[in-house]
Amino acid sequence: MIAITRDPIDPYRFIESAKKPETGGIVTFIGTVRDDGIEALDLDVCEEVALSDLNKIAEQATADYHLNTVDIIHRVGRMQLTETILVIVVGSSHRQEGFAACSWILEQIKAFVPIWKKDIWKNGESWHFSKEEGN
Amino acid sequence: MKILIRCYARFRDAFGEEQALELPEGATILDAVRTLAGTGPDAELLIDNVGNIRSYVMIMHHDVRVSPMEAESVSLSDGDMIILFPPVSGG
Repeated sequence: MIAITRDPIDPYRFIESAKKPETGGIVTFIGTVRDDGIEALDLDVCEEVALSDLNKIAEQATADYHLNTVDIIHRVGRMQLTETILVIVVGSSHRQEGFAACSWILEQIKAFVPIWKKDIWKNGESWHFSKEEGN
Repeated sequence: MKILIRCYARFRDAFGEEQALELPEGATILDAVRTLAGTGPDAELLIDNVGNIRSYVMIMHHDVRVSPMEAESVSLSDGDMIILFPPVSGG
């Protein structure tokens, strides 16, 4: 499943559904809200473009890393500390391709999928915003 | 002609969610972004000190990403919409 949701994500259902006879390894990434002194995190999205991007990333990863299954579920909206932001589950015949694919998918999401984090503080809020040219 | 610009996240806070701009015929994406930048106090978020679109700005036009360097070569038509994304931070 490739999805963007505003609801809490249960990663275990995707891990279970990735178990296939041809699969020898399931690699999972679970991104969570880290306590950087914030109270919560608010994620904004351009959903139409982001969903299209996630599908393209999944298709490319499946082809390049010979994956048997791939699930990417990104949550948006308000999240509290420790809540799950992102789940990536890849099923592959061999572990090397699974680890590499999971890492590649995450880096692609961080590079160009239109999703933005905003820190929510006790006395305000601020977008994550890198002004590095060409970032 | 009239075009629409939609902004997300930090850009939305600075320039509003959606603005309709009146531009002369033949105007380009660069013209549109310069015009939008002039509507608020945070022009430097979008435009550098020589008038170029900052390289971190992601531009969508007709469902296609346009790099800031290409913006001067893409002409707009009446009714077009441009979407501006600040640097992403998902994952």
